[in-house]
Amino acid sequence: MITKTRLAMTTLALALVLGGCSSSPSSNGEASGTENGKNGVQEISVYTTNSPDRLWVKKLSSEFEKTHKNIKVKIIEVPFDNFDSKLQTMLASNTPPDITTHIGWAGFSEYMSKDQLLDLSPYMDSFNAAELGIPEELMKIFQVNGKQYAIPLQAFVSLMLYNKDLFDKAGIPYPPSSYDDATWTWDKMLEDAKKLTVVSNDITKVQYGLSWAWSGGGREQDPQYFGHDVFPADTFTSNKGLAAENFFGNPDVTNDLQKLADLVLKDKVAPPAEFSVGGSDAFLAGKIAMAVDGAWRLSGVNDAGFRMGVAAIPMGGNSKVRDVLWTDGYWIFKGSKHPEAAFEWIKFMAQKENQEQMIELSGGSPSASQLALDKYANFFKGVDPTEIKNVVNGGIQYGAEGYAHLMPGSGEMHTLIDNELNPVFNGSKKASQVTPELQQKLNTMLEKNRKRDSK
Amino acid sequence: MNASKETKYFYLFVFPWIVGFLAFSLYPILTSLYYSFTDYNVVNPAKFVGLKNYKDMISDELFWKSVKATLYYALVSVPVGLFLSLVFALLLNMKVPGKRFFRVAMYLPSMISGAAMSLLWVWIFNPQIGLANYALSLVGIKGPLWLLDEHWAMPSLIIMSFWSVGGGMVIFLAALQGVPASLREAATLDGANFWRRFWSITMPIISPVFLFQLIMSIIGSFQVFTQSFIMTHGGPHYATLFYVYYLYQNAFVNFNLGYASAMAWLLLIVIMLLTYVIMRTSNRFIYYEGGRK
Repeated sequence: MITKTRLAMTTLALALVLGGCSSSPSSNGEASGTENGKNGVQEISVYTTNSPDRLWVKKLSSEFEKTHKNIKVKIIEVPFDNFDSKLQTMLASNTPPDITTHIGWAGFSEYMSKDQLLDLSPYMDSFNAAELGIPEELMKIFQVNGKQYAIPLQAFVSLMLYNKDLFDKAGIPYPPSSYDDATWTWDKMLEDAKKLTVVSNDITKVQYGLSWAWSGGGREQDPQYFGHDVFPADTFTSNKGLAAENFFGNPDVTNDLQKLADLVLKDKVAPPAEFSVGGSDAFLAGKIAMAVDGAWRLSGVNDAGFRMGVAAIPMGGNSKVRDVLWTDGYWIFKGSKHPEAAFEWIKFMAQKENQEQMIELSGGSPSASQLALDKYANFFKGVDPTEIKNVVNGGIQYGAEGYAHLMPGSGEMHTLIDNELNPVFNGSKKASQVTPELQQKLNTMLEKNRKRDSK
Repeated sequence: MNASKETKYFYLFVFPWIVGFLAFSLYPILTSLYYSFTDYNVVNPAKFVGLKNYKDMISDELFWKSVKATLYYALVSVPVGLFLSLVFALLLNMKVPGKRFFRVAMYLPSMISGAAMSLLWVWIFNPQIGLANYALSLVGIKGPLWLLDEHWAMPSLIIMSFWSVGGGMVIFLAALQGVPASLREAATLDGANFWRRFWSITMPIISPVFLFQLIMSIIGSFQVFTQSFIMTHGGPHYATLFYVYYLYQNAFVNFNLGYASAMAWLLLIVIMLLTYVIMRTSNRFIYYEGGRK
């Protein structure tokens, strides 16, 4: 009896131990490309999020496997909120994925400055960007010291969405989609916005002329629209996005920020922060006439209950830059065991037909290739394709890449700037009271990060 | 079974847990102690910098802002929260009709996850269409901007924390049921009124539970994170930059794992010290039925 009991107990204990120690190898995607496995098959991993607009990665990867029998693609999907932290953990444990792009806060420059990206120049002989319709401007974003470090597959311009019904009701002509129309200026937009604003004590009747999220809400880039830079020009050319200083305290920059705060406070044409608490989309609800934002906002248009148009962002005083570009460059980590196979994947995704499929599968994410522009322009029901083409072409021509993609430490910077400028945008302080101190604090942070990243 | 066999089985059965503890708790904890003395950005190898991270905290403005925010929250939410859970426990300990319903209703909110609760309260505090300002408007008050106002954001989160006093209430309720009815009856016969009975009988007997609740609430309030992460992102103007949220930001947004580890260790030390002080001084206020140990 005792022996039996003992046997049973030992078995149970062993089972517990073994059960506790073993882990299913398929449950964690850590192992990046494995060594040439059975029949010389190479496995590469693509790191992405599980949101619906990234579904194309999975679907097109299985297409890729059909034509590339010797390459197996493992998709590592994580929730958006864990994107950065999981990727860092993988890098820390020396098991980076082969391919990814910037989705979280840590962009291209973050990993570039930490020396984690593979120089793709050796593979560029087999890659003809011009033939694939990828504009030179977009390729250049990911070149550092003449070397190519990522290939743009998607490019979001910023644009203006407008509610045609509200324009018709107010009897105002629609804003132009062409970037060549010289009459379309900031002042004209403000004039229209005033006419389109309805002030009322009844919240259901309130309507605003304009919402402004030109650089996706990051205040550090906004002054660029008016022709004033917050960071020295060499930050983005030779310093890997590590700014030597900032000019927030500059009177022009300070004025620009006040001008934007005044949209809400003085001109009263833009909704205050409380208007959209809880993530409600006031534009799609028909409460805002013009919304300046990233092109990702277009993906909601098919659900809008009104007629919608897209327009150029008006001239704001910078002859070269009128909108912010968010170009998703795909890169290969240095730790990749199969860089050739990984590059094959990127090349495959850059093909016209795959880019067109990507537009479809992602629910309207824009391709970086001009060859897929027709497909993109015709994707959104009820919006004039010519308008979309104008806005994309003009947007690329007059676009400056988003700072979040180009500057390491952008998450930390954003937190500081957002908090310091908060009193300006809620009206408790003037910009001139806040920016000198912000400049000084940001300089301290930049110096700290420069020291850390230049090691 | 003799003692040595029992010992053997003991170790055999706790073995899986010990392995788990060593590999997934103790090892990471000790590693974070090491990292707290290094400059570590996750991607590049850690560089030993001695006490630099700890020294940096002294001159880090945001660190002090996070300490201030956390203390503000703890100093208001802990005493008021304890008071409320005790009051509700006393009320629901009475023989009132619908007692069970009220107990469940009071306890229910504490079963909702922090994230879901945060999302719900974002709507309650919505200045234009939220319940809070709607309720205030009924009595003719124009409500504040709540989470969007630097001065109101913290009070908002404190008010929200009272929503889950039901958890503490249940524990107090259990303690109240343990107060012998005979003592209260005897006191009543001797002419003691409600307050006298409360202070001289009920409070002493439930005081160990009170101590437990106090310590747990303090620890909990020092570790507030979810509300800040989901509702306010530490703002506006740093008003809700809680210590643990700032720690998280340093680790996963700013890539300063070394600094974040140092912050974590400092928090641990402070919590341990505080608990020690409370335990030591509590002897004077706490009544243990079985005598003091």
